[in-house]
Amino acid sequence: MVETSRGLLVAIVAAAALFLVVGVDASMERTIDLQVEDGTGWSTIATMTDDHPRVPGETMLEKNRTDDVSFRLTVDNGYPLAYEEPYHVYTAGTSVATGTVIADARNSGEATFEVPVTALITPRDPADQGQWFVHVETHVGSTWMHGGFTIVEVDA
Amino acid sequence: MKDQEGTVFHMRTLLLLIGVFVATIGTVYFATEIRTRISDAGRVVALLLLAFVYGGLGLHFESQGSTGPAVDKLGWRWLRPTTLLYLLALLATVTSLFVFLSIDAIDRLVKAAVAILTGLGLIVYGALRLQHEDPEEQTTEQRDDDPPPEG
Repeated sequence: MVETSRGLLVAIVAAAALFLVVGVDASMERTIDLQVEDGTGWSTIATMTDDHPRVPGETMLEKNRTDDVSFRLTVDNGYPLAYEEPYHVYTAGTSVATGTVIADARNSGEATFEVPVTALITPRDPADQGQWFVHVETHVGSTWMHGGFTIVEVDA
Repeated sequence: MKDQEGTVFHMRTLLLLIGVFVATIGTVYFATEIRTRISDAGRVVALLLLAFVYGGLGLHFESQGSTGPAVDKLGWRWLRPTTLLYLLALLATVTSLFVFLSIDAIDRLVKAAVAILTGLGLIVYGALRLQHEDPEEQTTEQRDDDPPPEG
């Protein structure tokens, strides 16, 4: 029989509290998605709900080089606390957008921004290709997600 | 493993070392891989609670007297179950601090101030309130307190 000491009591209470904190926190999900406007609506290109961020089906955008691509970062916040985090969007290691995304407690929020097509496809692609896959890396707070989409040049 | 005095590496040693190795990896894995499962604040609190679990168990073993050295050889006698548990508590606290410092939503100045003040607070509390008991000193004191032998 193990004699109960103050230390053991502390350990047991801390272990119980640990399970409680992790359990309650894990039950309150927060979903973060990065979307692009593809002409028919918003198409999700990256999501952060899993441990291993997945890349949804391929998204094609028909654009001219003088156009902009519209992005939307959405947060579905299931926590009883408001969410406010800075975000940074990178393509090919270059920062193309930065800002802050805010969502009230148990609510959703979004941040929209536009990036010129030229910032997404140059300088790494040959000028005469007409079609580019754009890889996007998005950092929100201390987490990040990867996604991608294809730009097809209309007047190529 | 044997030396001239006999076996110094026992099954107990092996279990203690494997235990601390597995717990160390588990703690680091817990700190890093649950990033997308729970919030940053939740991670900080969870790791602090884990430190309390390790520290509490260390205190328990200390009070029970189960503190024999893991390796009974000069230079290795500091390696005791209590020491290992306190080191794990230290590891959990340090990882908790790293998670706290990585929270972008909190101002860097605030994070630095919290870290410094918490560290200073712990040092002051430890120095003023927790007295280290040196068994050798205690024995000497007890010897001094003992009544002189009669005759």
